[in-house]
Amino acid sequence: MRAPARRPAGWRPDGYLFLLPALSVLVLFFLAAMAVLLSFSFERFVGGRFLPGTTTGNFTTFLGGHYYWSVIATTVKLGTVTTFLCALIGYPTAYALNAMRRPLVRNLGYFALFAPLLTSVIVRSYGWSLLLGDHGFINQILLSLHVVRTPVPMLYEFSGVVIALVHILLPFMVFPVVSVLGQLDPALKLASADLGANRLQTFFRVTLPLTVQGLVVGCELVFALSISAFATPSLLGGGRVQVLPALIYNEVGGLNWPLAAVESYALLVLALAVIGIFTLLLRGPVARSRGAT
Amino acid sequence: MAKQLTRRDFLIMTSAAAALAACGGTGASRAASPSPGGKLPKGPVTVTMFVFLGGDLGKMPKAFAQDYMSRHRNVKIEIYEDSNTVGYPKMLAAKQTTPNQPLVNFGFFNAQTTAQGILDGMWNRLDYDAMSNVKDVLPIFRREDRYGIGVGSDQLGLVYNTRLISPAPTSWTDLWDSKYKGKVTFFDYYWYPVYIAAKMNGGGLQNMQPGWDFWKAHAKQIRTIVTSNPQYLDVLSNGTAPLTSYFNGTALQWKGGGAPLEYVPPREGAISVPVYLQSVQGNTNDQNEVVTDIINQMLSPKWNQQWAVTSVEVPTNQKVQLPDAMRSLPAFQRATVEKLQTVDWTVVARNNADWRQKWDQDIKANI
Repeated sequence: MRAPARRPAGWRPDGYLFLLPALSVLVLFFLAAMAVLLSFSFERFVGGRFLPGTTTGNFTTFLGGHYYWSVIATTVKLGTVTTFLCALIGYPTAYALNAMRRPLVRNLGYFALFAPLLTSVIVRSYGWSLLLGDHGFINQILLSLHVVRTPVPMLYEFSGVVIALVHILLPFMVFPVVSVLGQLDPALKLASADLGANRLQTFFRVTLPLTVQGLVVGCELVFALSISAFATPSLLGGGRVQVLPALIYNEVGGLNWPLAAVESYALLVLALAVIGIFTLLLRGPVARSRGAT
Repeated sequence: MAKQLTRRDFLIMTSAAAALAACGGTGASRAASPSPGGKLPKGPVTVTMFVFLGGDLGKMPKAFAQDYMSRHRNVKIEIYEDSNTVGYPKMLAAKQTTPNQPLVNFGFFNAQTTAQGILDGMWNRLDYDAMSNVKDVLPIFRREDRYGIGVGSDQLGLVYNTRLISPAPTSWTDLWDSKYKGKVTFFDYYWYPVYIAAKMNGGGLQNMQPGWDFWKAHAKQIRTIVTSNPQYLDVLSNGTAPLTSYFNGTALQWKGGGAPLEYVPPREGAISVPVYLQSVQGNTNDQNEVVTDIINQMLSPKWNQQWAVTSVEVPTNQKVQLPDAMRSLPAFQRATVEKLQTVDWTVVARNNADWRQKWDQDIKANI
């Protein structure tokens, strides 16, 4: 009599059952909506009207247009710069928060960091317009101190959008890094010191490699959110920062829904592609960090 | 099709209102004419009215709704407040998915959206014969195709910050005058200055390319493109970009709220933009009866005057008295009215999507 087949080690069906509600929502609402959107992308829209029949012309218009590629480039540039700055500012912030011994101070730090998430993105964007405007707070300070003779253009520029996005998305970088830092065994730092490494060496050769997966998750979150940002580039970009989400909004408003559907898919593919590249590039360091812990 | 409004038509319109006021008129307090024939349904009816978002544009429709519901207890009027630009695509989406449950049942729509709606089969034809106030509406606002009826007419000209610009601009060409480089703002998107530039460079509504080429070369005039009325008001008032082209009505509402702004009709002529009341396809018979009655009563002297005063538009009912303060405004002067420019809104609707792309690609990409 054959012995019963053994389940692979670690396979638990109840774990997958817990995924069922989320998967159902994903399939029902997201995938179904994406299927409807895909069907829209083949519709004909000419002279302000929907016409019968299908066409691939929307795809050729989008993929063959120099303007659309420039919008994709601006979108990727915005995502990349925002992610880099969030990583540059977010990691040290997470490190400092994790290192704080006094709970009250640490909690105040968390509150200061996450407080922007308590207000709407529109309110925050308008707040930045008061700070960054030609007659805003920052320029008034610079002019009164005679640092500049004319207002520095920050609002309605790429830099203004980046500043606001970094402020808004910083929590999404800090939180995953804090989470990973909190799981780090303190004994590893002690062992590194015992073996003669100074604090900088310990950070770059022990702490950073072991927390890189938190950094990767933070970067993926920030990148995805920044390339899909609509309100901030629209309010603070002044028409100069032309990104895919704003383009989609314009096409929807102009009733050119087939082209808007193509652009929506382009945004989705862009996000998946860059996140995939991110994951592949950092696969090695992440695997090493998991092996070490 | 609606006959294109001519300058003479507007002259007749404003002169009639002025003459009526000078003679003491029929008074603005006349009650709304009752609906003819008592055809209104007796059971409960709910209708949703599309109302313009921003400024005082919602005052008259909301006041009317309260008044109407107090006289017709079985009718409930819900308000849907939005801009035509944002709300109309939602209406079209609702039409495609649930044609018998329109997003709104009737409301206020500008000429461009009216023309787009005709292309999309969005509107019901109004039963003018069943609307007692139609006979008092100037013929220029009655449509031969009966898709809606005019409730007022605004105009587009120059709006500027009075504290930062002096003397006042006087011409459409000021928008591309080098002394205002980096000081101009426009709403996203805004084809009117492109049309003006096209006309001045050998083109027009049927051939806008000269206008696109012109503004592509002069895109650096634009400091910023705005996406909402509050942002627009902020940018103009704080001096970030103190010059623009926009609606007389909205500009004067902003001025009335304390903003240091003024509207100026350009010497070449402002652009007239009529506003229509429309009934939306997909209403039930009961809803259509109620909507027809509501639109008829909104055209009465009392409510048409309220609309004219709160939106700062020229009224369409010949019996409306314009207040003295309004009649003295630059937008209502004979000289302004004589020079008003009119456009074929059907051409605009057909080209809207293409023009929008040109706006993004030729102008926004170069500011």
